[in-house]
Amino acid sequence: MIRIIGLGSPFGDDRVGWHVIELLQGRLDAQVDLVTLDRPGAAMINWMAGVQRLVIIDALASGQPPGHIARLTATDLDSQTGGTSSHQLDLAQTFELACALDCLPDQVEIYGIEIDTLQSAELSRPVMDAAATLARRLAGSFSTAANEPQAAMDSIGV
Amino acid sequence: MTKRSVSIHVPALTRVEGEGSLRLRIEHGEIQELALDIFEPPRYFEKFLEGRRHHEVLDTVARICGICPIAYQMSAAQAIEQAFGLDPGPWVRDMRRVFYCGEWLQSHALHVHLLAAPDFLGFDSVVGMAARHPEVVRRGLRLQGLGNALIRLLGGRSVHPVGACVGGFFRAPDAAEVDDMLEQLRAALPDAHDLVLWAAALKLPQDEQAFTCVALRHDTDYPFEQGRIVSDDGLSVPIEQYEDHFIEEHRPHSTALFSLLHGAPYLVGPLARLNLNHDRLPAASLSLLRQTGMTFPSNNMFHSLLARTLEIHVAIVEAIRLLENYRRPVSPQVEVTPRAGIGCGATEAPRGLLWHRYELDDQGIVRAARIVPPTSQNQARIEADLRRSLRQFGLNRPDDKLRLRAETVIRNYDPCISCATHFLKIGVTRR
Repeated sequence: MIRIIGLGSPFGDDRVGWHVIELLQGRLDAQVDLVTLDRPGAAMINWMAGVQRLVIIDALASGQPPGHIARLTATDLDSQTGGTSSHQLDLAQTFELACALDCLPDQVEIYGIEIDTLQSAELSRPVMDAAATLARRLAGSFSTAANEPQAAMDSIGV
Repeated sequence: MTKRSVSIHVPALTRVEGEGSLRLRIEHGEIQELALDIFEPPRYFEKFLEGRRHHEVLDTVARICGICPIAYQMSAAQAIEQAFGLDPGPWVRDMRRVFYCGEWLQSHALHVHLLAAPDFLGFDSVVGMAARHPEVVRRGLRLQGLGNALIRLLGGRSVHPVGACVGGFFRAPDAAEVDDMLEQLRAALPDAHDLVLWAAALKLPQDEQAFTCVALRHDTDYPFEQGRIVSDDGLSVPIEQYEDHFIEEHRPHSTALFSLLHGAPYLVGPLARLNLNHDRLPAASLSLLRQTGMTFPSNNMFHSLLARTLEIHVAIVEAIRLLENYRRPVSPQVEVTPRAGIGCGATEAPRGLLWHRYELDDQGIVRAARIVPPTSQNQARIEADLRRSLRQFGLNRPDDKLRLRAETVIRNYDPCISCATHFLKIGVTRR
């Protein structure tokens, strides 16, 4: 099974992961499952059961221009919090825990969209455009429908 | 002179429910200063709510905490319904208990496995623990997932659920959904049973201390969403009289308010609930508790862990009981007619008593709101516990041991700064 998880919160550009999932609704093949979560952690590990290929979409703050899309793997991430809690098991720790429990899917791809602001209720323009770009490319990759272009995912730069 | 200072700093992080710090100064082998500072989002929400219409309140308060949104929704719904003179009836009451069971399950399962267990088994984190005890962690994740499924049944989604409203729920699950849920709950009972026995076998620190417990108490049921406010020193009052007995005071080192009962710190949360309500446990949970050989009330704060695991069992047993009698109602909500008034609501959040008070006008618009969350009620108690536990542990111990004990004591209360306590940084000055 293929599962795409959008991580986010209601705050400004941080909701971009959820927005991409909204854009993908109804555009993918039936075996591709779409999920939104508000954080990584235990709940995300429960969503890994029976998944061969996992795609994560999350907001990213790495100093790149807003809207930049980075493609990462599970091993590219560094733990940022240095500890664990029920509130904040970060993405790297979640993958470490999944690995220790032997439930990490064979393929894990992470798409991070560089964000601009958390202050607004809405997505900023560059982030909204990037979400549309990423959704189009994922739809092309995970859909056999004739109207979705078969985009090469490798064209998304890191 | 020996001067030793300990400080914690927690940066504000997206998706972290709070922030806090502990300032500890030890001189001549004595604690000269101990101050726990917790940042409290609910205080801002009291102002956000002013001017909101009654039907906006539940969505707003759900945002206070990503871990226990249902608790905030249930206390708010109860308060607004009281102000409007509205009785939503037995179906809504039962389903609110089921909804609440889901929140206890997911919150307790996370705390026990991700936070507490690594402390007591000697691991830095759950990742290290998972390598040695993978089945324990898997069991915890299964129970957490079950809690989320139960929340989705009535809330529509497990993250910031949207299913509840003043007067009831927006939608009643159909029989097939309830049957599927019942099957999952029954299948999880052995996990919950084994978890309680596992927790009872852990070597927890022996740390007997005197403290006052406060919780709701219901005539017949283990308390989730209804009851009088009681304490083990004789208090028993309706929730509307909360402000007559409990005061909150500012302290210079904290943005949070410190709650006191008749001028003294007190405990809310799973251990307080169990200490005051062990005779209200469902028969199966009481039988399981007897099997452990543990007895309650207990004055060992570390028995909070056992209380949480037992409440996981209670939540599953209670949800099964209520869903086995499920009938789909004609309407999942009763009609709401606003009227001017004041209403109070009190329910048992996973972390303890959560008290709300709303003043609404005749249009159903909030004119004033007051929210007293469990973590602020426990703050004075945590400070008192730290002061005594660290002294008993030995103030001359190495800094990293002292820090770990302070973290363990704080985490044991499962405050909304749980994450913060992992950021403990100690700076030591010795002269």
